Amino acid sequence: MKYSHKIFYGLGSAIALLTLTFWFFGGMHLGWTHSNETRMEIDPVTSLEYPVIEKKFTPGVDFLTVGLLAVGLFSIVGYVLKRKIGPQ
Amino acid sequence: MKIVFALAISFLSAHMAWSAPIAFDFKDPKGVNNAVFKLDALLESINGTASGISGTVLFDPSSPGDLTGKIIVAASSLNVANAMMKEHLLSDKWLDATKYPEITFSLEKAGNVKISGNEITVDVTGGMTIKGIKKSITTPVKITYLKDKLKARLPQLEGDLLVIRVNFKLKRSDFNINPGQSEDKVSNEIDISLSLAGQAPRTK
Repeated sequence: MKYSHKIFYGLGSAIALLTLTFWFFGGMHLGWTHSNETRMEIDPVTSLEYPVIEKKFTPGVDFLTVGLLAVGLFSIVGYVLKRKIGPQ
Repeated sequence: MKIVFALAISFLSAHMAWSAPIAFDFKDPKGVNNAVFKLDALLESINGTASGISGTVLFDPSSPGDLTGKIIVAASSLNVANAMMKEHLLSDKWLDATKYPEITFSLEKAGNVKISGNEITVDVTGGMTIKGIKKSITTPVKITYLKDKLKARLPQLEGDLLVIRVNFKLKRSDFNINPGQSEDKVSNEIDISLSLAGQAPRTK
């Protein structure tokens, strides 16, 4: 109980790191999160363009926002707990 | 007299066979037929596709202006990149895909035919039905008639292909698709492109 606020701070930091890493390596997409990707191909006989849908998770700004809100929440809980415990 | 009559009959039947409209089936086994739609929206535009296309079009190569038929898009086949957005799109506020599973376009009249090689441009007037509401629209349609090309796609079949390309705009408010709502976030205007290939197999 004495160090519970540190657990929340630690979890908050881990979520922040994971969220930012995932978003950064996911292509830093500034739109909404995508759960699939559409690639256009051309049919050789008709020359028509047609979509090929592939499952691909691309985190967007909503993912980033939810992650950072979770960080904020953990930080607030950690801060409240720290104040309850008082100075060590 | 009998010879003249027989000749007239054979000429007429040959002419009718030559000029008879061909029925093209747009349920594509290759899965190429598609509709692409785009709406401007907050943060990024909503780009989606639909692949559940079927229908029949009657086309007469000797008279391209005689174009009739119906194209059906399965509402449930609409896809956007964001899963939650797709859920909203198919919900009762937007397309209500459970109650109205089909989006249809019936080709009723064609005019202003322009022919260049095997490419034909016609202005088609037809009825677009979305969410049970039918509106008449007129749009230029680009048609390519590919005689004897079916074999190149489906080697077991002989026949012709008909390629149709259409681009047009609709207003979602005209079809009761969340009218007047969230227009600051999602535009009222929808850009639609149809890329379709119909097949008419011939019996040997």
